[in-house]
Amino acid sequence: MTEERDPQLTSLFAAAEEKLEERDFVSAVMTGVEKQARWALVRRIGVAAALVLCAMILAAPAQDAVAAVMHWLMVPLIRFEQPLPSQILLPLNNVAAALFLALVVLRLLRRRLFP
Amino acid sequence: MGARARYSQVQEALLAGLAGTGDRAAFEELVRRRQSWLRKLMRRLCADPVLADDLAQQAFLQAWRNIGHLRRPGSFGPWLKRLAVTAWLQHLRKKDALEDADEIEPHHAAGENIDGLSADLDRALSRLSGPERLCVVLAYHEGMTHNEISELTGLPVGTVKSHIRRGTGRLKALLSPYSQSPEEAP
Repeated sequence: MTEERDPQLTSLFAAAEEKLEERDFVSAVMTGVEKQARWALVRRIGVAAALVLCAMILAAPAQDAVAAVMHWLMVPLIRFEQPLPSQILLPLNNVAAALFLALVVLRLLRRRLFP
Repeated sequence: MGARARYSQVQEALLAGLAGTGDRAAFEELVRRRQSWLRKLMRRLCADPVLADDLAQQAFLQAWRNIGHLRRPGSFGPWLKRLAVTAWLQHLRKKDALEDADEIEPHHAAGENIDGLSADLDRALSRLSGPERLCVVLAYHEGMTHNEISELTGLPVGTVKSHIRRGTGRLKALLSPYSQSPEEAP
């Protein structure tokens, strides 16, 4: 179907064009914008306060959890009778090193399989 | 130099970009430039200047909330029109289904000039069904193509065409006193 428009209606719409004066419209919109900005600020303060409160409540348990995980990561995989080899191999002989190695291997495998 | 004077010569795309970064003065300039166009569009759709201004205001506030996500600042106008049409459709849905929006009574605020072609056109448009009115206004007032209207409203192109055909016929009949020429009309 053609996109033709009725010329009579087209001219009527064109003749009905009028510029609307700003009057209070722009200031009403900007008042709304200010109100939104104030609410956004109140929301941000509320979220920040909630985060601080959560941090205060959860700080000690979170610290304990981190300490426990760190301790677990440093557990030796192989136990030596003599202290010297145990001390020398400590940087490699632990759960963290094994996990790191596993990650490196997985990454290499992924690159090989999906180049 | 004030922000208003500073931004009065700036291109709209740049203003939209600045508004996206939270510059309220840039957004105010956008509102100043676009208010007449958007309010007129809403008046054609609503036939109620008060409601039209409310919906236009809603559209501008929605624009302010989301302008940071506007990918192409150069398309601020079409994007704003989409927001305004959506606000109007939501208003219709709130009032009831789109079909029940037929035959709305035009309302004019105190002090508004209720005579003249513009008011008669609004009155005639208010006699069309909601979807017919929307399609006719977008076609004749905004000069949009059928495909553009379909994309904006989500209506199938065939439906848009039939709404425009029916709406045009009804509108011509309602505005028959203007059939000579708009200037000579009552």
